Amino acid sequence: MTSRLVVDGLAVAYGSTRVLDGIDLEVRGGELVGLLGPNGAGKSTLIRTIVGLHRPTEGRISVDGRDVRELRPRQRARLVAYVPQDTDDPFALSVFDQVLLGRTPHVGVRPRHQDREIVLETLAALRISHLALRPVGELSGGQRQKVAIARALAQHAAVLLLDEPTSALDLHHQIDALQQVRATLERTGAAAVMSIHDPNLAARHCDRLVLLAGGHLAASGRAEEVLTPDNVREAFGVDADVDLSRGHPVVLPNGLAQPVSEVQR
Amino acid sequence: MRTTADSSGSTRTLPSSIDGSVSIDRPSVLEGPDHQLRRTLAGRARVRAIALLVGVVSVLAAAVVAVSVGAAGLSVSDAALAVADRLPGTSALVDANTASIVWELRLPRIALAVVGGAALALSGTTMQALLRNPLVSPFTLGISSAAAFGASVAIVFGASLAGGGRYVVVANALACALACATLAFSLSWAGKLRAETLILVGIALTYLFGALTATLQLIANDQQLAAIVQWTFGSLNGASWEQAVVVGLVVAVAFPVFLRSSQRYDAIAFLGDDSARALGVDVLRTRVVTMVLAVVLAAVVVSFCGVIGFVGLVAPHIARLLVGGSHRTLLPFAAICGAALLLVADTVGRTIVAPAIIPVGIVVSFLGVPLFLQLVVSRARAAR
Repeated sequence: MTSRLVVDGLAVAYGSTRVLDGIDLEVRGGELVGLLGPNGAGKSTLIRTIVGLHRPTEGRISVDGRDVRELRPRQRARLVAYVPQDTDDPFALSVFDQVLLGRTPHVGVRPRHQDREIVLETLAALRISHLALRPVGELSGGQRQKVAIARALAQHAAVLLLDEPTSALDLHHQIDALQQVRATLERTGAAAVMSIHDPNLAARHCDRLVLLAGGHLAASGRAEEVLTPDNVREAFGVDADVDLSRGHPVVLPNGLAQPVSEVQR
Repeated sequence: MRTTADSSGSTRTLPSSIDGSVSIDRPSVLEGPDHQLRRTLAGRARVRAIALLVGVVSVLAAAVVAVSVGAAGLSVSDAALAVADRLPGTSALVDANTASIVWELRLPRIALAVVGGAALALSGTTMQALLRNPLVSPFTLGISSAAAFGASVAIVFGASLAGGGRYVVVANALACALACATLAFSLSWAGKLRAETLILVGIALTYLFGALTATLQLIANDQQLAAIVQWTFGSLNGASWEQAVVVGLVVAVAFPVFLRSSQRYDAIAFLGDDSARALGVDVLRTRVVTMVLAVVLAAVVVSFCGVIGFVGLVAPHIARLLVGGSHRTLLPFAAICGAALLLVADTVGRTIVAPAIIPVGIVVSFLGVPLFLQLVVSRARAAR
């Protein structure tokens, strides 16, 4: 299958500070790519730039062969969906209405019958129909995360960008959320990029991993190629052993590495 | 209407929702909770439609009562005949004095209360949505204190309140309110318009204009001081048909724009700027266009009626507690709540100790606060 998302030579700067440089990335339909890296490595920036919240200084982002910068915001929003880190809602909206907001790029003045049907389908697919009329603020973190994912799915986009969807969840809900994302990709053929802190969870659930460090691409490929003791030391400054468990690499941190000059860039 | 569309449509689209693979991921689309959910959603839409209808009828009923009560002691039938008196095709149903009480005093006052209350409520609802803050009111940007300052300048340095002086006060109040809002916008502008910055700048300007008005009060004589204090209470005493028409026109321009943007308001209010932009919403443009309209709505009402602040804060909340937060329903319902609140408050204010009139700004708080507290507290208890 051809690539649905292509990022080519991407660079992003805040003022005169370069936060991303020379980023290349290709994601095929149905594929889940995990974005690893220390805090400040540029994971969120990369995700937000692909969504269109930051303007790249160099490079090109295309979805299904179309340059997203040439699209109007509404057109782009039909191709790219965004699941932000936990958001606040100062007012209390029901789950159904929240997910219906995912239809915004498709809706004219008011949502139609078809939009409501898509919301019902999405809620059923994520098995949260029973929450439909509850205010989002009353839900647990795991349920709220599912609502955010449901909203992005209702957008019916080709590419899904998830910014640390598991960071606020317990072990059960982390695995549940990742399985839901996987099932969705298989069902819809969408491509997904997800930033995630836990390397072992990423290795287990993602097709490929990308390691960012200091705004650069430190490594990318299959989990066992990316999660090597050398890469972990260079990117995170952590001494770790890497074992293999059921065919997936498992990172076992031993402690902080001795300061290396490359780490402090 | 919406209800029938939902129930007939659901049978039509059921096959499509189980097409392809009936996978383990998608259980029981046909029966069970989903069917129940469809009915609940349809019921919810029906409740909202009924709430709107009840609201409109209540405002009309309140208007009928308001026409027939007051210091002149007219009977309901006198008032009804007086209303009919000046409609086309009728002649001299009541004496000229009664007709003029109804047509020149009561009806313009009622009309201004209805459109003014709706204007303040719409302004408050949209500002709360776009600044993502339920504590915001139309006066968060400093509009009311700037208008009070403008009115005070006119009262102290300008004209007496008789004759043309009234218009000087109104014009000055309006000019200062708009200037203050412009200042708030331009100070918080930094390539984009961030909600937090705008709120902080508005609060600072509120204090600045408050200090300026207080300074004026120091140099004002007793009569001027009384006029300033009277103005800041807020009152519909000077209501005229022109004022009602001006406010009505601004509402007629702003309301359709607001209603067409309700999906965008939902995205910004409930998800935040970033997620709204990711959904293709032009957040900056929506915020600027809406805030300008909201500022004009509030500024016009305040310059005619003085500071009636509470309506713009509380009407959106009452509406939100009754029909939920989705702006497509919330906007019209908030307008109805604002109109009803101001009309009832003014009617109570001019009848309870008649012939004296309690300024509407005071009555609004006395009526609105208990109502608001009752709703908030009962909601909190229900959620527990």
